[in-house]
Amino acid sequence: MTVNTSPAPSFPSREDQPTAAHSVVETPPPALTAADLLPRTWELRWNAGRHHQEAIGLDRLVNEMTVLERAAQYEHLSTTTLLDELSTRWGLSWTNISRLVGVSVPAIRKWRQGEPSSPQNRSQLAQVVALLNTLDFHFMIEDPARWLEIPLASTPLTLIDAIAARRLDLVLDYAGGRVDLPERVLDRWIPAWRERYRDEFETFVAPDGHRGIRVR
Amino acid sequence: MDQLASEVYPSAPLMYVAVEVRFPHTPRLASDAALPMVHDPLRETYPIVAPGMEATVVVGANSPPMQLPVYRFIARDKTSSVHLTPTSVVLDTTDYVSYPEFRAEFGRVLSAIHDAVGLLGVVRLGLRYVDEIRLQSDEVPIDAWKEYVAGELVEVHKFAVGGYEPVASQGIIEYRSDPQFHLVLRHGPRTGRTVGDSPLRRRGVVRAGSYFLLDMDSYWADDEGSLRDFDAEWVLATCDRLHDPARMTFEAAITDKLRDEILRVET
Repeated sequence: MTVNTSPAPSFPSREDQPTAAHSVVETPPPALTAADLLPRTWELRWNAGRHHQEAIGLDRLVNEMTVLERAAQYEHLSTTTLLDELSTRWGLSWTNISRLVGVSVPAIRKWRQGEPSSPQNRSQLAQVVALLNTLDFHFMIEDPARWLEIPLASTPLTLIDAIAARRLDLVLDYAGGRVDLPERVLDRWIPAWRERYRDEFETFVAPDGHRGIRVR
Repeated sequence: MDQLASEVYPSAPLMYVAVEVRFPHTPRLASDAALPMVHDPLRETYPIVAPGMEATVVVGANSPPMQLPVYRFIARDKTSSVHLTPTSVVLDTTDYVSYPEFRAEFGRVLSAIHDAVGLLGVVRLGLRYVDEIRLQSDEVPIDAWKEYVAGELVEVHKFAVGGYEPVASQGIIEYRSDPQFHLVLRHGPRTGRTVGDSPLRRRGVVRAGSYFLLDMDSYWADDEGSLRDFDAEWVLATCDRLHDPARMTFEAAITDKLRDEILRVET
């Protein structure tokens, strides 16, 4: 095989050196200024914020649907069986069961003795069982009944109180890590909680840089 | 077409115009002594002098590049200049008003130089027009240029490879009317700009987005072997012959939609 090594004909053919045009330079687009970027920044921020809010809303919906779908599976169990599940398997006290369902402790006692409960109360019991299952299997929270009973930020309030106050969304947000501190749960639930449940102690930063706790 | 060829568009996309005449090496243009003689008649219009050195004339395959002294005489507003080397003179502008005005100025520059140093002959004469056609939008898909630029000039840039879409392109078409008269058209959808801010100041607000490049280099080149004597009148008459095809090419390359929606709009 032979290879022709003669120079290729130039193109344009007649003239390799075009008419001088000293201002003609292949330049990249001029650098963008802050003013150029600002509208795009706003747009991105707005979209990011919107998508963030949509994601939060969708995540909450999914979590609540998970609890409700599980609850539907438990509704076929009798009231007695549901109470046994809550008491024996999950270790909830009768007092806390009554607070979660929104009835009195004597009412719970009557149900345990075989007296019928209303369909709404049976559904409520099923939802509590479903919630504990969800906390355990979905959010990987060990011993979820004890977790619900932990006082929030040294106040007498617990997540059981939040559920009793129909703020299941806060409990699920906290379980999923969307709310990272118990103080933030309280901030969203009871904005004035610091005044209402003022602690006799306070934290402070000592001169050595370490955090400490002292009487107010 | 005749009417179009004389129309002056208030929003013309013309960003840069240059005319260059090349001549045999003229040693007097390489000497500092000749500088005042050349510059004095042009000083009022081009008071700024920017000297420098410019490569290169390669005499043989193994010869080092030759450094030539160059001078650029620049107008105060930095929108036009005269670039002088021992082998060429260029008049260029980013603020082109009309061909008659540009031609007259070129004639004045040529006379000043020829009177000072006595140019020997003409090797090449070129007239170059660089247009950056921009629309209202800064992001123009290639196919959308068909409404504003001749379809034939757009279609070639749409050649797509599987999974990839062309976003910028440049084509070159070479035309010839006789052995000595040529026109090279560089064209294509681009982004950014072709005409920079140096050495001349670019006209208008710089936009960063899409534009369609029409870069026309209409030139005469010596094809006879013997050197044509320098004659300013002949140079200007030949310029006229180079200007007409450049203008016709521009008019043939654009559509009425571009004329009506962009070029004829008073800003």
